[in-house]
Amino acid sequence: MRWHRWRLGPATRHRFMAAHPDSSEQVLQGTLDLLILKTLSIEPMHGWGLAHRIQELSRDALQVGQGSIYPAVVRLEQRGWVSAQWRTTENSRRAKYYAITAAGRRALERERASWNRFVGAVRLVLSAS
Amino acid sequence: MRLTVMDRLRTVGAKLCDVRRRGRLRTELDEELRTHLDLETTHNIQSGMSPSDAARAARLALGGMQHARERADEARGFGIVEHFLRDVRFAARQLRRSPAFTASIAATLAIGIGATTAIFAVLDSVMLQPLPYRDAGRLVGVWWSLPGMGLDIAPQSSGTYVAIHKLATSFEGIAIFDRTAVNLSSAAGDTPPERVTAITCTASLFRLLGTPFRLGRGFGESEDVPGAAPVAVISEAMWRRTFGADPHVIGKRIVIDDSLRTIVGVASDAFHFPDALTQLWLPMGLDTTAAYGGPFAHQAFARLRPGVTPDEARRELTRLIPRVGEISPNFAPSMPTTPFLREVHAGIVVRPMRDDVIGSFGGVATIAAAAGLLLLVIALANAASLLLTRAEFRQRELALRVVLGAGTRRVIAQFIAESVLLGAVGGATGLVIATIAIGLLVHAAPPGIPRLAEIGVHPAAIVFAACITMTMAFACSAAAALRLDLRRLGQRLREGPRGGTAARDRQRARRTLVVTQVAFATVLVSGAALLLQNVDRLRRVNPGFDATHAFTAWLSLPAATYPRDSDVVRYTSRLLQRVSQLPGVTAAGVSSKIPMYPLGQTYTPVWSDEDAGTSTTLPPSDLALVASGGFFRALGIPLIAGRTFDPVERQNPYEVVIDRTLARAFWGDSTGMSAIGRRLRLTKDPKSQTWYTVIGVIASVADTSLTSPPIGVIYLADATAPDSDRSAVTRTMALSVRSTGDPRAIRAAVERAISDVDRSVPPFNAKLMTDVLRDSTLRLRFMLVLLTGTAVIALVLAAMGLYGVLSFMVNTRAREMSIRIAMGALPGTVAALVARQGAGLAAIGIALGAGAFLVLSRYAESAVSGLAAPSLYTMATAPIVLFTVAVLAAGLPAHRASRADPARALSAD
Repeated sequence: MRWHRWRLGPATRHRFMAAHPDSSEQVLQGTLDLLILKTLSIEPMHGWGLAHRIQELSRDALQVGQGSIYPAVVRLEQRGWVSAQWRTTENSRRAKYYAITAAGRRALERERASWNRFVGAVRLVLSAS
Repeated sequence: MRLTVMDRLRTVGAKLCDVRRRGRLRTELDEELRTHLDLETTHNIQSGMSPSDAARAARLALGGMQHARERADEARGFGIVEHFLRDVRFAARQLRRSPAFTASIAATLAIGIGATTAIFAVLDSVMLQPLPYRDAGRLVGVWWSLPGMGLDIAPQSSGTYVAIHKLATSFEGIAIFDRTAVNLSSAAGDTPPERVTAITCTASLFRLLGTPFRLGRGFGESEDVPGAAPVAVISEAMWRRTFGADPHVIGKRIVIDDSLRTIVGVASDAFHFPDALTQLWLPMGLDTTAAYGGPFAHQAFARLRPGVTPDEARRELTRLIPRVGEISPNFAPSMPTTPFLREVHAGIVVRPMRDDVIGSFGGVATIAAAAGLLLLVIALANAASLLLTRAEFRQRELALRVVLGAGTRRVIAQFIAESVLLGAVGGATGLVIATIAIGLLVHAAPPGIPRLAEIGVHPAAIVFAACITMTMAFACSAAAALRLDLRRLGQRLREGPRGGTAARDRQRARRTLVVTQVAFATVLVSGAALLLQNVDRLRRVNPGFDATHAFTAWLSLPAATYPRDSDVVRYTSRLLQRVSQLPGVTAAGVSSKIPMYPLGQTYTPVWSDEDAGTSTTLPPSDLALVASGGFFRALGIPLIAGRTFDPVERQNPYEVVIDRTLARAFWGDSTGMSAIGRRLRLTKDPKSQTWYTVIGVIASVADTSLTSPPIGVIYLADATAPDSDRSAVTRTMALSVRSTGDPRAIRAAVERAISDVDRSVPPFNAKLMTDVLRDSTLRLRFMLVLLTGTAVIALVLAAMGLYGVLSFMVNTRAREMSIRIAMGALPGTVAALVARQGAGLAAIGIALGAGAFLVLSRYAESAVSGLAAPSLYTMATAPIVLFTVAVLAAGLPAHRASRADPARALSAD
């Protein structure tokens, strides 16, 4: 049930929206949103930092193309889950920092719970066989 | 992620807000991405890469700057819409790059769409738009069918009208009207009288049609009885022209045929009945208590009660037929109603009023629509063929784009965008063409086309044009995209331009399209040839009179100044004397009707002296004309036996002239000799002593149309006959004049003579007899022009299609041609190879088209009365024309093939 939502929902939308579909991303788009929210819930961050932190957090298991970060944050920003602000980095460069909003936190909690249920269900199915 | 409704709404809102600051957001995005690349490069250098490797690795990790930017930007916007717009912009650039292709395909589409839209607009205005009356769907025409008299459709007599009015329950009301024309002058008498088209009608007409009034009202029942104070309703156009839009015109008086009438209403410009020419509506003043029902002469229409169908009304009226006699016992002296209706097997016809208005135009319109549709298909085939050729040429470019990562959907989307753009340009141009074409059409249209004033590009026509444009665009792009096997494009890239089996496939598709074009063009050219054959046939038909040097004008004598028949005869005599004395005039006469002109048709049964009056069946009715002696000479109608009438003032009312058809019908004699001296009567009442003696027989004249077989005609003398049942004197008469030279030269003199005799009698419908004859074939010739136009366009399009396919074949087989020539083939042989291809395609198309035409012409014969079947010459015309055009179209590619350079055979690709 949930699996369909995760897989087909974003993927079909993506098919119409993106010119250059990339199969690994199609599956991951919803997950990527979740990862970004999770990462930003720790501290505000710019795009490059986000890409690297996600790679670190997943211990390089998830191959998230760096270019996929930007469309994702645009989506989250338009949904009102993330806010953006220009700031200077520690090496005094101008960079756009993203922060999670209150609505974003609520969405994260909601999604984390359902993600955990989903993972639990998969584990149940796998261990049953 | 699961999105709530709020999330979705917020997203849409944010997207809408972002549209305005899209430019700034893009700049920000660029900066953001540059920062990203810098950070990544620095990171890479720190992990030990060389600076150039570090920069490249950074770009790779991001997936390319351009790519990343596009994706983020896409996420910001509305996706599919923006894609489409971008594709359209791209397509516009592509199309601008090949203007010749773009122009030819847009022109093809414009011609197809323009022609079809114009024809649709005419059909829509004439046949589909509701009649401009209140709740017009419930208006029906009410007619008789009198098969016993050879009449499929006959109008009402006043007796039958009164009977239906009193007895029928299917109708809310019924109205009758007569078309007429009157002399109109101002009450002060200070202006010369003017001839105005008018109708006399029952008062119910305005209520049934829901006439909108600019001023005043329609006349009421109390004003529509014999002896009521005379009133009139005028048109808004006349109100402006004659009365200077006087707001106090109601109650003013006008002189109509010498009687004073009070204006009670001004009908709004939006109201036309029965046609746009009618300017005056006068009460009929029918005497519902008259002793006789009178002739079948009034057109009737009725408004059905809600929920009643025309067929239910017809059934009710059919049941009522036996009761008509109760209301109106006799049609005429010694013609009792009930036996008469039984003898002629009277029936009722109730049909939508639209059918009465459109009349015989339906058949013409269907043929025009078919021609437009054929043209549309030809244009469509041509456009598809052009797009296909273009797709072929762009194979390498497209293959390259697919290999470089453009999705196949993207390539197809671009095809669609291109087609939609071409369609839009073609459609817009087509609409302009349609508007111009309609202008020309309305201008050139014969007077018989109904609802002419209403024809125009209505919203329905614009929607229609848009629909066919979009259909064409998608059909074309689908044709082009489907033939293009995108998955194998990469393979094609390796293959090079020679192409394999797929190329042959596409070639076959294009050939099919060309064959279709040639076939449809054959049908159109054959149609034009068929009409030409018919027009030519009519030109050869001997109308029975000599139209050259003849001139006619109509006159109508008002009853107020010419109350008695003898006054009319005196006027006629004076007029004829006067006109005969004009220099250049060789003959002059008057008659109640002239050949090939619809005014003044009266039919009467005729009995010969051999019929003792005991017969119960009616003889076929014959056209009864009133004429003076000069009439036959003026129109050059040859006399085959006996003599014609004496001069008007000495004319014997008991003498008649008949035509050859009648002489043959009664006495079986084509020479007419045996008819001379025989007697005829116009009533079968044995007590009637009114016998007419045949004094002359004339050749048969084509009276109503050149195509219908001649009917019997009896010419009565234009003289007073005190004791006859009917007055043979005609008040509305045609003056016919024959001159030695050009009849135009005497026209002014004749009109002056008419004015000299009585200034208050204006001539109207003045025409050369040659024009009258030409006008009678106007409808057919209008169709000829229409079909010839479409046929010529179809020929050009088919030639273009054939040329395109052959030159494409020569291009793709250039190497083969060079090899053939290098191996010693004569240039002529190579040219023949190409020409044979073209001839083969043309031959298939022509054969299919000729077959289709044979089938269609059957239908055309039934749709348009008087259309003859195609002759052998007609059938041969289209194949010869098409084949010639095909050979010409094949000529250039064939020539090019024969000039193939043998050296090319040696050089590799």
